[in-house]
Amino acid sequence: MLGKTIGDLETGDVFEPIRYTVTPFICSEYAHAMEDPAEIYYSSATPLGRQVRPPTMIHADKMRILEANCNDERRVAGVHTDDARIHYEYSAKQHSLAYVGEELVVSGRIVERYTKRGRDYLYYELKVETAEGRLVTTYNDRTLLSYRPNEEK
Amino acid sequence: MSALKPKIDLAVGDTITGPTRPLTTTRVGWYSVGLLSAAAGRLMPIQFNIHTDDEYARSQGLPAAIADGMHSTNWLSTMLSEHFGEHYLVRGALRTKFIKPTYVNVPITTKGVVTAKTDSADGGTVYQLDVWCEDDKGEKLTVGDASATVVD
Repeated sequence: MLGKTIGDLETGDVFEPIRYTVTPFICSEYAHAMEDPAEIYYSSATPLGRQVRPPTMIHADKMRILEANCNDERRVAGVHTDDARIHYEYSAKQHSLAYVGEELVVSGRIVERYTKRGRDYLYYELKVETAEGRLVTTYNDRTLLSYRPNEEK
Repeated sequence: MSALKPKIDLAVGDTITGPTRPLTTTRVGWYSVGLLSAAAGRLMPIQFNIHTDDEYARSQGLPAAIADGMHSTNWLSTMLSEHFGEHYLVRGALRTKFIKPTYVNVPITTKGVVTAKTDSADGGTVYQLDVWCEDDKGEKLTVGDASATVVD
């Protein structure tokens, strides 16, 4: 169910897409956080001639789309629930570079919510495209909704 | 990255590595701030969560604060981009599973091994790799696979 917490998401939920413009700040901030010194993430002074979005920044895109679709658990804004979410699997395929100044559209859905060994998991599918429709990144993600097994809550 | 389109001359069985780095509290904080700032579009303060606060992590059933799995994923991605350049950034893939928790100050090394080298439909070469992060005892904490398609 959209509109509540991440723990309320269900199989088949389709996120309301989000749009944002890639800025120099978000590229350099994310690249600095991951300690990647490649100049393409910090400036246009490279053979590419344009500043580039780091490929693993799909993690921030996931945060953005959850922030817009889970009103009662906006983790970027510091609105948390009792349960910490634990990232278990990352899987990204890169299709093209995204550059500073481009508008990106992030869309996606919950492929599956399931329980394994007493713990609930979400399996996400996300897609990042430019506003013109050029595919940038496709992504799957598996997240544990709570480390504590259900019977201990 | 030494070149955006480096010449790749790897054979099946060849290995690639990145640097060994202790995953310090400072580094955990850098990623927490950087992720939130990239998602918010403005500089954000550090948050207290299972990655930054031992007491909160214990309240969640964990023995101590653990690093974000994306930390090892990011370091693996950098290893791939440093070896394959645009061949990874434009036509690459990376999948990681966080099979064991990574605790603060554990030295982490990224590694990969080429498992296959095949022709792509458009005349390029697809490199498949197993990739992982290991601690100072050689124990794998994050495992996965990756690919890069080299088209001259």
